Amino acid sequence: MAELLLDSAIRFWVFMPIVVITFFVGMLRHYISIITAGEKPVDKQQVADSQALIRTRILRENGKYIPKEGFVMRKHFFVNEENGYLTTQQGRQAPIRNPITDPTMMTEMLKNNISNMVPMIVIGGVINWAFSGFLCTKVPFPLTYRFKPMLQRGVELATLDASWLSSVSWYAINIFGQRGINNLLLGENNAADQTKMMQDQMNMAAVSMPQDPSKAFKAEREGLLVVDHQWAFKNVENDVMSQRSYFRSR
Amino acid sequence: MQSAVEKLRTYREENYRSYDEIVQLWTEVLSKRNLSSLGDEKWLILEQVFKSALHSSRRSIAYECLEQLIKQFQSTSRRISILQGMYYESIGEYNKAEEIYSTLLKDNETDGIVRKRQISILKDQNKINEAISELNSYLEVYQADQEAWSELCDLYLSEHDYKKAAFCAEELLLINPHNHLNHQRYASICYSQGDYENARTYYFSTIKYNPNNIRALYGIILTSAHIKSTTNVENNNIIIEQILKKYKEQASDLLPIVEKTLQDFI
Repeated sequence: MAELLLDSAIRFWVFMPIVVITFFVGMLRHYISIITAGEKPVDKQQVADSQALIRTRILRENGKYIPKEGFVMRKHFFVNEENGYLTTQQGRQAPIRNPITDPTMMTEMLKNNISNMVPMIVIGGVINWAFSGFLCTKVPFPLTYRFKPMLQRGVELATLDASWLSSVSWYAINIFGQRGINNLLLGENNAADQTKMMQDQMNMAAVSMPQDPSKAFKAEREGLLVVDHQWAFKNVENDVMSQRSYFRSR
Repeated sequence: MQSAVEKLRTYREENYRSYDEIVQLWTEVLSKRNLSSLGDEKWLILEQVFKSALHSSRRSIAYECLEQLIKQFQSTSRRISILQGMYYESIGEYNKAEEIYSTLLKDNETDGIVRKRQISILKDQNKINEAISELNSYLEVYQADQEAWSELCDLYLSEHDYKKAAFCAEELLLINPHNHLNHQRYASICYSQGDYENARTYYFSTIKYNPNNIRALYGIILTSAHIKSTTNVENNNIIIEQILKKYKEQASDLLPIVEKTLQDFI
């Protein structure tokens, strides 16, 4: 079978441009997403809810470290039948956020989609229009026939060896491969990331909030109801003195 | 210069409180160099030095840093606005600072940092009661904020309201039960309230987590003066020995004074 030779112009005008284009588009997208990712102000109620849940969880786990009075008082504050914090909160109706009717959520979703989808479609279209129909490189190992639709999109030749790569497929491979390069170049440690992290710190607890706070409150209340106070320091004097490891040096 | 930058980075990431050293690094190494080679880290360093300068009241350095930051980011940035407010606080222009904070809060009412700054203004002006009530309303939302509980505890203590301070100290124990300082603080508050049993228990728990806490050792001896029992006397002698030994190791020149004081308790 005759050896297939590629024009070297393909290297300069198809192979390289695709690499460069995908790389710069990735970079551009990174920076655009930084610009458009606005700070979302967190709902005050949401923060309060999540903080209350954290506090009840802490009370459940570390209640043994405070005297019984303190524990019982706090437990009463959270779970008593009449006006305990969790009792009143679990009855509260959660405002269900519908993504279709809530315009702020709509724009949020749209923003995400735009920064992801539009460049993909546009660049994909451009690549398809400008570079389709070329073979541009060859993988250095033989492949089976099944790989042909994946590696030779745009070049429908039944007799061609499967290890040849078409330009459109080369583009697809670049897209998937660029994440690693971007991580290397833009780094996970760059300044943009760090400032964002600091802003998120306050909001982190709120973000990890479950969808329906009243359910979470109910579960938390039941959890707290069954907890009894076992004081951790009942015999601490004897414990400390009998360990004697600190006091042994006599 | 590289080592200075590295040092600042570790201080920044691990929240070191060595403010004087940071300012010193700045005046001696960094302030004369061209920092633009550091890229975006330059601004983080400027912010860090600014805050440290405020802590050690080096106003001119703080102003210098703030000026550069404002030049870069304009005053539309929230983060810069907060820094600006802090600067006004430091020079005593509380009204201007308050103005900045309240506009910031209007944009985002869940911004805890701004709320805390407002409370600190009140505290700075010695309006302790206002600060306490503000802090209470802050804690209604941010119930699990350790810093705020600790601050509220101190504020109550300055008002000699031991019962409420004890509540805050309990809250701190819940949030971080393995920090011996929290135990020590709670014990001391109990002692001030006259609750010697609990005070003794928590002084012992302090020692459990940190055997070197001298204050707790003294505390135990003091509580035993109020609670009479035979085991107490026995334990006291061991603890007094322990205190003396520690003084011998760390500060032997104080030993005679301590020995004399402790005589009364043997």
